[in-house]
Amino acid sequence: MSERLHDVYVRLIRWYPSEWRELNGPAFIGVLLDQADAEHRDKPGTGEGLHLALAGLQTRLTRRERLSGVALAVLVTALAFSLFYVFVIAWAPGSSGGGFIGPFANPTILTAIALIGALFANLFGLGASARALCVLAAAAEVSAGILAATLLWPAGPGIAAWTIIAGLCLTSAVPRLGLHQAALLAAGTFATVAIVVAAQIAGGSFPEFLGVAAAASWAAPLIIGSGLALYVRHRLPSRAS
Amino acid sequence: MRASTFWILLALARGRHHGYALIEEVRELSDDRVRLKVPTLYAALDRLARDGLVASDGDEIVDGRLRRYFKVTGEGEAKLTAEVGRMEAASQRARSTLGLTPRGKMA
Repeated sequence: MSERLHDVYVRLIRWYPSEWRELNGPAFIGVLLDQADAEHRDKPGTGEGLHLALAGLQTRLTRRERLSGVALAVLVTALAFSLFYVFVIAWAPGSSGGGFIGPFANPTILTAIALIGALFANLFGLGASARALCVLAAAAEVSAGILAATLLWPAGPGIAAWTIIAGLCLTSAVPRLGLHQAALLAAGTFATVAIVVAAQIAGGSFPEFLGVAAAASWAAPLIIGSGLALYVRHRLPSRAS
Repeated sequence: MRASTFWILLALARGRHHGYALIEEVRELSDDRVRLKVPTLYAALDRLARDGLVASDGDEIVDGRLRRYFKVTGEGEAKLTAEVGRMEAASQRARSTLGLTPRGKMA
């Protein structure tokens, strides 16, 4: 009974960061098992799984850590680019229509706000929260780009803009980001942009699968998928301590 | 000071405890009013250790389970003493406001 419950708890505490589990996992599971014994349980208590999940996520988001220097540099670049885009390219006071938010021609301002939040989170030592905000910023930018393409917002973020911004956001969200990884991800992002821009310039002479709408449909899953794969590989546990 | 912090520090002021014993001690000291969940206990212990108020005091293996003991630090005891003083002052002010007899004095 105890062994089976032990395995269940090992699975449930995977919500906690791996470093935390390495340090506290066995003692923590020991207390959970002691409590289960005292309550004559052979399975987790009511709501215990949810409680462990929430506490684990809270531990992930509030632990004291900061982004690596490389990740911070990428984040600052993403913010600089998005602010340039928002205040120079998408700045259209007095206009209105689909996609407009206040004086801004499209919702990229929300991405910039999320990135500012990420910078502040990192400043206060909440590196995991900063990374989560970067992923959120990327998702917001990709969504805005796809909506702009499908709803035909005339001033919506173009595929080159949202690919660069989302790519940089996701790159900065990779845990323990090193210089080589950052260079590889940035190169991938800019290669995607180059292909798309080349397709736009060439217009009809390119095959249909390189058209703008089609490019959005393959570039978005590519970027989101790569980011998630890297996140899962580095952050979520593959084994319990 | 949070209620859980107060009770954990008070329980540890009585001596080193391992996780489950600490949960039970808090429950008894608080007359069954505070029942800590294991994740809540560990979140509090993480925070208190970070603030230097409690410290790990060794591990033991009992019946194949790892038990980690915790103890209150000098700083933790000082903080607890200050909190008790603050609570006493608040209690006296409340008694005075309500016209109740001060504790420890005969009417």
